[in-house]
This record gives sequence, C-alpha cells and structure tokens, in this order.
Amino acid sequence: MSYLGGAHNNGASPVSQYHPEKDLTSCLDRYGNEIRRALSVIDSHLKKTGQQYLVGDKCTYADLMFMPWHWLLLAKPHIMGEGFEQEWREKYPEAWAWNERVQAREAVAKARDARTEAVMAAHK
Amino acid sequence: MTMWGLGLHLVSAPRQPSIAIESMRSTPETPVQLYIEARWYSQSSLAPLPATSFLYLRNPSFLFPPTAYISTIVSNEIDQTSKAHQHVQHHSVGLGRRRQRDRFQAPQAIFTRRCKHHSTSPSKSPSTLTHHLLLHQGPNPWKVAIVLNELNLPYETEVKQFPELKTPAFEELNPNGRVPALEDPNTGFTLWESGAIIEYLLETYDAKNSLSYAGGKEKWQSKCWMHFQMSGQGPYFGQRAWFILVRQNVLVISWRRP
Repeated sequence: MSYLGGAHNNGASPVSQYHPEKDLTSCLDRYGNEIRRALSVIDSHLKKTGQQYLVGDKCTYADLMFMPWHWLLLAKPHIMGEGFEQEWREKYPEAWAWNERVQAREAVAKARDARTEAVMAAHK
Repeated sequence: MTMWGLGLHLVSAPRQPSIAIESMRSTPETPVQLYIEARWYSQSSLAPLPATSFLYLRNPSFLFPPTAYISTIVSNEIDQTSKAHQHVQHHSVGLGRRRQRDRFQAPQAIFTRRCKHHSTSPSKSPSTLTHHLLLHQGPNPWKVAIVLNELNLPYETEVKQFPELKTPAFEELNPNGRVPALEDPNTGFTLWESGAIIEYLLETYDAKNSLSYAGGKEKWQSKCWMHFQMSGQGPYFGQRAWFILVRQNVLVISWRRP
C-alpha cells in the first residue's frame, strides 16, 4: 500500500486544490463506508473466533494500535457524526465490546487524557 | 515538556528465535500461494495493455491529478505448474508514463546485521526517550504513546507545530517530515513511522513479550492486524476526518499556524 502512503497522508495532501467544488458528499460517503467496513471486518473476526482480542486472548500491540483512531469517532471531531456510537454498538457489537475492553486499559486512558490535555493547552 | 512513566523493564536475556521459522529451509518444498486482485486490470476503459509486463492503470484514487497513473509491474515469470511464483514485484505512483519511467528506481534491498542492542540489556539507568508528536494532527503518535505507557518506559513528549516538521532540523529525525518520530538515547537510534517505532520498542524493551507473541502463527497474525490498521483503518479514518475538516472549513490553516 506504499503508493497510498503519500496520498492518504492528511497533512500535506493538496486535496482542496482538486476539490474546489465544496461538495464532498462522494468523498465522505466513500470513507464513511470504508470505516463501517473496517469495523465490520473486526466484528466478524471476533464473532467467528470467539476471542477477546484480535489475536488469541491476549491484548497485543495490534489491538492497541487501533485505539487512537477510534477517539475521532467517539469524541470531537466526531467524524461519523455524534450518533455513530449508537450505530456502532448495534451493528458491530463484538467490535464495540473489544473497543471498550482495550480503551479501558490504563495505558490507553493515560494517552487519551494526555492528548486531551495537550489540545486544551494549545487552545488556551 | 511532560514526563511520564516511572520505571523500565530491563531486557534480561537474548530473545529466543522462533524455532519453527529458524529451522525452515530458505526454499520451501511446497509453493506458497499468493492472491492478488485483477479487477482493475480488466477494465475496458483502460488503455490497451502493453505486451510487456508493465500494466498502466488509471489511478483509482481521486487524490491525484487525472493524468496520474499507477504502474504495477507484475512478474512474467509465472510457473505454469503453479501460480506460486506469481507476485507483484513493485508498484509506485508517477505522474504519467514518461515521468514515471524517469522517476522509477529499482527498490533497494538493505540488509543489516542484527543490532547488538537487541540482544543485550540496555543500560541500567536508561536515558529518557524523546517522542515527537504533532498537536491536532492524526492519532498516529498516540499509538506510540500507548505502547510506551504499556511498557512503562520513561519518555518525554515534544509537541511540534506543522511548520516545524518540514524543516531540515526535523527532517534529520524523519526524512518524511512527519510525526511520530522517536529518539532513543539508549541505543542512539532515531526512528519514524509509528509501526516501525512500535516494533522497535517491543523488540528492544519487551523481552517478556507482554504485548506480542514470540513466534508461531500468532506473531504473524498480529502483524497482519497491525498492517491492516496502518494501511486500512488509519487511512480510511484519516481521509474521512480530512474531508470533514475541509467541509467545516477548519482545514489546515488553524493547524499550521506557528
């Protein structure tokens, strides 16, 4: 996927240059559906295996790496809308339980708080 | 500057290599099967496929100018008795055929010996790692922060503003001019890309494999999920976030202000 590395890199992508039309519906739909698909992949995997975590019954770095992106769903800027948490709970319950399980770890909570703190400090 | 973390797991013994992997001969007896997708290759709207092994594909991503192409080189050396050797050798993005060809560089394989730091204990009083992250920008640096927390490693966080990243000074740390980047004075290493940093931290400071599997299929399945996170989940979420912010007109202006 290296060829997407630059393209998907939020910071420097000249996206707006190629999207002067301001109607971003197709973009938002495309990535919104991909987010749902990514969650459904995890949901199906956990359902099928009956595991607590992605690999075996031990929380690994792989589980942890998914967590910070979920913050964008569950807190500002709520990239899927504020009602998405409910949709996630209902449509992808195994993935939701997994997210809750991993987010509850002390190390994750600490990083989440640190990020919130850093953002707040920058806004002062 | 904030200090987090209290102690450090010392690496007490060299890690044992996975027996299953180490004892395997370099050429497996049974061919491995690689699956690739051919859907895009057969679209009738594409230019006729050349007879060579170069397939020029219209860029499926809208993030490039319409003239941009993705060239995929597929190996011609397909064993008729087995599809095992069919593999994609290389793919890259270019801006049209000529520039693509001009810019093309054969991938270089870089082989390094196993670093001595991976098989020895770090010093008993390790220096603090410096973890660079960018405020407001993507969540990737926080993946590293979580792993640092899990391993209870002492580290300092250095928050950067976007203009600082694309400077010669920071590009010394990360030639891509992005965060996260990590400096480890214990080994003298400077690393970038969250996945690589996390793998480094686990190999260097998690001798007990508290967050990973030492070997077997679980070790590799963990890597599958890690790469799905980095090439699937992250980009999907990141792009959605990007377009949300474009729509809200907050764009990069507020992020990039020094």
